[in-house]
Amino acid sequence: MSERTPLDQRAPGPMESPEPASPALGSEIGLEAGERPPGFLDGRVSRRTVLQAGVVAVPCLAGAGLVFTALDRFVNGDPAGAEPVAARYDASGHRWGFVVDTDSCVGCGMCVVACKAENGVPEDPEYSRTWVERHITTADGTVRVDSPEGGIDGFEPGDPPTMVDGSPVVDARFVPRLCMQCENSPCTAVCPVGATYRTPDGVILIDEERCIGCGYCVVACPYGARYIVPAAEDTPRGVPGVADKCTFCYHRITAGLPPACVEACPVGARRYGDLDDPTSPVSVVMAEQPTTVLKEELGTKPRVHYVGLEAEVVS
Amino acid sequence: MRQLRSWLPTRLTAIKVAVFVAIASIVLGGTAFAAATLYAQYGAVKNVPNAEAWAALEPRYVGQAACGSCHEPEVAAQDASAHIDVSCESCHGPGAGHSLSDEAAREVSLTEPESEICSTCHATTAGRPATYPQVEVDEHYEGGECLRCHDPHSIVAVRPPDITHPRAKLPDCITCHAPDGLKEIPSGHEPVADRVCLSCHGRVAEPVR
Repeated sequence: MSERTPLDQRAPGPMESPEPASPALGSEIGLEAGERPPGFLDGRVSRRTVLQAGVVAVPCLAGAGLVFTALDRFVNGDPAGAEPVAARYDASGHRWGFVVDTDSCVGCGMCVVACKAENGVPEDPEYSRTWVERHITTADGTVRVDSPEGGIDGFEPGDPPTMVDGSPVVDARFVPRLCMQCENSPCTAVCPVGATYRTPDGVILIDEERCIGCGYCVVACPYGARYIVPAAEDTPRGVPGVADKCTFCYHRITAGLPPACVEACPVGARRYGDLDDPTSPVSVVMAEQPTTVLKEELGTKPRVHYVGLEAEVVS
Repeated sequence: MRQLRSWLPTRLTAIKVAVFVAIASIVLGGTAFAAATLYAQYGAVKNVPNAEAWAALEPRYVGQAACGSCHEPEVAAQDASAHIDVSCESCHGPGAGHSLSDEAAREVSLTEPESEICSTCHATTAGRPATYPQVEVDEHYEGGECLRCHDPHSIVAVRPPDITHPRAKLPDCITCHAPDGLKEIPSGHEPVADRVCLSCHGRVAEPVR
């Protein structure tokens, strides 16, 4: 332990000069050459200086404290005001996921019918929380996608084509689509008013009282899962003009029921369950079969997984 | 006092700045706090503002178990058939309100017309898995009246057209029901090999005339 040396008795360091850099500099602030400014670094900090600093610092600190408190409340909310999702349900105890088996889907469209009936989604196929596409892949690698009326009436019967535009068909399958409930969701990132948010159990919802209907989320979603509810149409919660999309039937899953599309699927092509529960339908399928996600390269980390789908670019 | 007088002018600028900074801090901080407090009535950005409201919606699809509590025979038959995975409400529509006394709410109808609902799933369609049971509807049976033969709750063809004549001691069906025979097999009938007729038509008790 070296003995503490008063500042003004220290040997000048390489960056320190015992004298002011030039007499002219000192004279500019009203000091004689060689005289140090009082109160700074000379061990003579006066009571007045401390009081002056305090008079400025205290309100500044108080102001900064208010700003940080406000920010915290804006982002995290009033801790006393946090409400549980439902008395019957603990959102933190689940990690909901979904598996779509394109090897099983028959393209009947009953999921679309059920979704619209359950959630009051507008009839017009332009507005769909879920829809069914048909992907016909030819040997040249082209994937042709059709989805007449969102697949709500199924697809036109007919024998599978063997050739399309001179290229042999190598694969034809139905690909049901819905919100991917991304863990890294672009929609929540772009919402300028914080109206769309992710629940602790992994479902992205929309607060229709906050939503201003700007449509940023509709454009930002790489999966086309969102739409703005048209005027004169009612969302399940009764507000036209706001964004809407699949909620995994949040009112059903929080009550222990499967989403309506899962309930209605006649061939078990839609599975739903807790990814943390190894006995859940999704975990069982994912343990047995390889699965992919749509547009994995975007890093959105979808919670909806697909069986039987080659990694392909899906529009 | 003298000291203050001599001190004041040299420090006036610094004091002005300090007072300005202090007041600005209080005003800006207070404004931000007030704004956040006002905004907090809509919930916080990171919290779950209205998840509770979403969770409170009433389900409309009630599930197979609810249907089976009254319609036990149909559900039991279906659970023993290949339609075991098909929910009642897939074809009959959502069941919420069906058990109510209100007549209007009780109504449950097929989600599609009866003539189309089977082919929604079972008509041969490009994209369906090859192993999935599909038929060319018009070739399978003209008119597409599926329910004349098939019971959707057990899927087996248990309701063939009644045979209205005695069958005992007669030769093979095809003897009379061949083309140009006594009564030809309907043109829309599924192609059948000889001797398989009774696999469908023999399931009903033979009516006696």
